[in-house]
Amino acid sequence: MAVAGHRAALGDSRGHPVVIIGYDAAVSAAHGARITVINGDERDLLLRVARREGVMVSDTFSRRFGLGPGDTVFLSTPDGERGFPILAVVLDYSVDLGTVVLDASAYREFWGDASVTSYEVWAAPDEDPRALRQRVSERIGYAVPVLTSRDMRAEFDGQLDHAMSIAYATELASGVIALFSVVNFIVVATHDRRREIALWGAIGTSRRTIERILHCEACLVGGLGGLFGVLLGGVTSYLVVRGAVPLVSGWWLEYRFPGSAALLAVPITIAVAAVSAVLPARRAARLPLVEALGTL
Amino acid sequence: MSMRRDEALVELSGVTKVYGEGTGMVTGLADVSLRVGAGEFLGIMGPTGGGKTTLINLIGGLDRPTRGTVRVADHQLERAPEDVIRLLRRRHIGVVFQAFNLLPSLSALENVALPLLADGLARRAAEPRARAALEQVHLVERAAARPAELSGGEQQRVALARALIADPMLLLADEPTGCLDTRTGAEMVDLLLRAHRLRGVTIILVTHDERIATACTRTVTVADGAIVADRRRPVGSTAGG
Ligand SMILES: Nc1ncnc2c1ncn2[C@@H]1O[C@H](COP(=O)(O)OP(=O)(O)O)[C@@H](O)[C@H]1O
Ligand SMILES: [Mg+2]
Repeated sequence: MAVAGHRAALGDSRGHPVVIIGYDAAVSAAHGARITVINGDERDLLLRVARREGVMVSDTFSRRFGLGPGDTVFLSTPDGERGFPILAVVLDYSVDLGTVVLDASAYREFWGDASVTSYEVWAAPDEDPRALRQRVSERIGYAVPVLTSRDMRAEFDGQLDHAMSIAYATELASGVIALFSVVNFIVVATHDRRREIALWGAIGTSRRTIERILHCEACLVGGLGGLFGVLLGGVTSYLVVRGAVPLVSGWWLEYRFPGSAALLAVPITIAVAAVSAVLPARRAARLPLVEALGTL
Repeated sequence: MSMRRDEALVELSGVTKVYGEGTGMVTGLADVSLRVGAGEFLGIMGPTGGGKTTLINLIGGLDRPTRGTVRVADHQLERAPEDVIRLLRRRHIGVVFQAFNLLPSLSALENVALPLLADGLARRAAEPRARAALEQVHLVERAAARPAELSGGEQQRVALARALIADPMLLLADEPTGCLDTRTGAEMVDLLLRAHRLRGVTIILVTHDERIATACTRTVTVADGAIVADRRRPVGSTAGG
């Protein structure tokens, strides 16, 4: 078992509030803490932070102040302003203000503040995280929440799902609307082509063949529509996740194309089109020819 | 198609066609009987609303009589199943309407090939025949054109090529020159006459044009749903024959 103590505090960068994190980089690095680097050299990053070569800043900070690797961030300390070279921009959703992450020992030294905001506990390889959690809770008292990283992730996921639930509802609604428009399109398309379909019949095309042609066309329309929808949905969702969401919420989410859902979308639209074509095709194939051909 | 020698190719007996129901009832044809022998070139004439289109639609099986019988070759159309009638049209009856004969999204060649494709022939086999049919109406160089890119006369010639591609025994044409000017109309009539002479196809043609009527071996006048005149031309007097 190993323990790292981290400190998060409100700080000041040239009159702007920022969050300063005193991060136990040495212990975290030794236990393989994972940090997602957006910009900058990620090799030995935590060790370099531990050696006080510089600091990491969050993507929100980087965007807010327009600073990145190679730049210097200036922070107010009780002894006056101090500059820290930025080593990397890293992913951190915790606050919109933007965070500056420096080594815990440096924070303690420059700010004269030895308090700890959170402890990170690493279980030994053969240790059960739940049992460990129980032991920690018992030792420090139940007033302090103790979460396993899995619980924590589940909680974040739950929050994210909650935030996205409106999107899911919209998704469902648009799915239903799309379904109706496929049905509508096929009904209208066959109705608009009554004369053409009657012409097929007039030159002797059997009703079964006409039905088959209309079914094939419907499947083609469904397939193309599904493909087009997947492409358009892919582009739009990318723009939302990488453009709108960071702009509105400050969350820089990783974009992942929902491959299996996209793969399913095409056969589903084909099936919907095929099913919705059955009745219109049947009716079209049985049109009274003279009436449908109109006045000739 | 088996047929006794003395039998007509087309025979209508006591045919009545009533459109609509109740007070909206309109009589298209009333108790019409007509026999058309194989090899005839029959012109149907008469005033608008007389029943010419009704007559030709019943012969082509596009519509069914209200009363009476319609026989084409050995098929009784008034009681034949729809699919049998369509098969008959596909293989043995060509139809040409006054307008809107072609599928707008298909090329001239594809339009001509349609009856063969509808009969299950592969594209590879159908296209050379469609090309040959287009050649006979002098349009092979327009094979790739869409209907919208063709003149009215060209469109009608494409329709004629399609009507003839399956080598039918009967060709039905409802005012095929009705929308054409005199010169293109005459071209169309020349092509019909050639098909009649060279292939021996029986033609039933609705026309308003007296000059076209003179090309026919026989003319029937239909007015008020009845045949009011039936004139045969003596053999050998066929124009262009
Ligand atoms: N589909 C139809 N519905 C109702 N009446 C029709 C229909 N087709 C034709 N008629 C009527 O039947 C009569 C004969 O029409 P038609 O055969 O088209 O004559 P023609 O071709 O000689 O002009 C006309 O009175 C016409 O109004
Ligand atoms: Mg008419």
